[in-house]
Amino acid sequence: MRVLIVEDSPRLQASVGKALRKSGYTVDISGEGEEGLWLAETNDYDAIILDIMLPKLDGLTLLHRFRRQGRQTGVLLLTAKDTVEDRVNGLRMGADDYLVKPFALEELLARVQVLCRRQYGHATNRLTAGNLEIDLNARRVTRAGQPLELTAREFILLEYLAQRQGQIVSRSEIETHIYNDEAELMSNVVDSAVCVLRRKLAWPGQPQLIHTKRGMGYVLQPPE
Amino acid sequence: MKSIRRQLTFSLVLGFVLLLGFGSLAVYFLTRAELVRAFDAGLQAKALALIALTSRDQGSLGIEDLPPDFQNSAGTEFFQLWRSDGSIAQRSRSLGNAKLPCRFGTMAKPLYWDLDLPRDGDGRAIGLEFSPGVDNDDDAGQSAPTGNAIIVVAADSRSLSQTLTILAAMLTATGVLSLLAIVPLVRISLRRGHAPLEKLARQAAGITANSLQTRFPVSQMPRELQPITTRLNDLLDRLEAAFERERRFSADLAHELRTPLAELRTHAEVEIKWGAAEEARKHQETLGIALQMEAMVTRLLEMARGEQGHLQLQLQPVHPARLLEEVWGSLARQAGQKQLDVHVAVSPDAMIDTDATLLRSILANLLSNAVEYTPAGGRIDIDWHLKAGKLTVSNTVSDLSADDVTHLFERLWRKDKSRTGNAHYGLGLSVSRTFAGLLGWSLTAHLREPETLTMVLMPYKTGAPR
Repeated sequence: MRVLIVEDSPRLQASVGKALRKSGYTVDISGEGEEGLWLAETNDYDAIILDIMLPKLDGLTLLHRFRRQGRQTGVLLLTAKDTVEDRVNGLRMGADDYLVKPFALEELLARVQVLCRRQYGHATNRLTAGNLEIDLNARRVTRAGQPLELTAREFILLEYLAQRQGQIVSRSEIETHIYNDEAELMSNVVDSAVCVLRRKLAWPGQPQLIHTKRGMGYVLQPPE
Repeated sequence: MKSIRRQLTFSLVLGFVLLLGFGSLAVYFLTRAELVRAFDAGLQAKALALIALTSRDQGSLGIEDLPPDFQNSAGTEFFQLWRSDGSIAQRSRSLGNAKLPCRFGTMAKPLYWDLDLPRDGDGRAIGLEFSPGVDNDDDAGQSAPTGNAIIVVAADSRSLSQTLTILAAMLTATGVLSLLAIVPLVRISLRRGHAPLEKLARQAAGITANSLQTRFPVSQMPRELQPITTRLNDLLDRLEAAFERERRFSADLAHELRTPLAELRTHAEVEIKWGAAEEARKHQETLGIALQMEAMVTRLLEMARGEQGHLQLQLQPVHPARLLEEVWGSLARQAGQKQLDVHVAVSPDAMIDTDATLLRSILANLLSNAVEYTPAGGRIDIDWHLKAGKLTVSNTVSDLSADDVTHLFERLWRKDKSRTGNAHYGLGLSVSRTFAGLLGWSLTAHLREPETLTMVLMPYKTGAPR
């Protein structure tokens, strides 16, 4: 999952960025509004964390211009402005969620997770594909009731494929949502990761869940 | 204490007394002088009439055809005539055996004086030296004796004295009556004159920190009060601006602290979760500090907004007993640990219309303070008289003076001057009073007995029990 943080406080950029990365997200960070809008327009993010008081272009104007282009990415306003009017105004301008500083980190992570989930039309934090179950809250994966050990990156890859269950997900989409720019330098990183994940999901007597669509990408598809 | 009204009353009455006194004296003496002058003129006329009747006849000096007043032995008019050698030439019968003193002036400048008359009467006399006429019918060739004669004419002046006594009595009576009337008149006039000043004082007394936008109507004030009213309005302008600055400062400060607090808190939480395990304790402490500061900033913002009227009331039916139970739920454990003796009296079914959020905040503050500051084994009494709409929370306290109670609602006031301890910031009661004010209630503190603090929350406008 790829998240954009537009926040002018370097310390918050660092802390929230680290928390999201540690939680398996791919994170882009901008410290000002104009660059933030440009990043949001040129990348396909799963969620955007947006401050309101920003240099060059304020968060609400950024949000207004972003939504005017018809973009549906979930946006969470993270701001010190805490009055009811501020919240109502922010939500009316197109924000999907509103969190006031200071905030509990766990709450921010939960809200970002919800925004990402909504991006793919899911209402719960539990994804299933056949006998594969993914608990997004507990970040636990089981197959046929047996727990699987995944790294954070593997978990986020599986989550992304599961969110788009039945759809072909291109290699570049995976690069965009799961990896930072290092993917370009190591062109086989996606293939390797999918290969490792497929191996970990393999279960004796059970069909393969992740299928390769030659020249197009991968699809997570449970057996009919 | 100096009283302008008392001073003015004293000055005006004293001035009036002096004026009246001098005026009366002037009237008395002028009248007396005029009456005496008229009396003296009468004496002079009588003396001149007697002189006109005085003649020398064959060496004898005398007055023929005396007017009847002088011939009556019981008369009240007297005269005595002397020859130039000092011998008495003639006396009125009214003198009886008495004599008049021989004092005199000239015809141009007669001598007048007061004297005691025969038969114990006050009298006044005129003395003249004159040249008596000669009776030409006497034989020619016989030389007439020469030399001036002296005449003293006196009359009873008791009527003059009585007139003057009556005048003096009338003036004194008028003065006393005027004095009796002038005191209440002056007081009434001053009261009426001071009425605008008292109205101004009442208006000024009604101005509180929440009504600093009030201004005095300068054009409706008497001219003398207009300068001071204008100055008061100027003062209110400055006061309102200063209060507004202070409130804005609180709000801005709290707002500006939100981002650094978020930085601190998030950094601590990230490091606790993903940082080195050996550093976790340090970051836990940092997180604790961040959370305390966050609570304080939230309180400051709540208070600033309450004072600025930015909090919108959501009136709804509230069940006090349930609200009390709900708030007490989070404090019961602490109260149990301190073995506090808690007594609660509240009507189980009564309802009130109020803002539940604000009332909950006030209750939470009052009850948590009671639990926090009651010494172990102490007593807490929570009494909600819903008919009177009055909530009292009493608890035993130690080391709290009457002077401390006057500071309880001050922002950031803490009993401990060193401000040790992080659980309280001295904002709770200040916020609660602001909230109470928004609900139309008053919140007061009383140290009823040396060791019992009672907080009283009661409506003064609305919020009466349904």
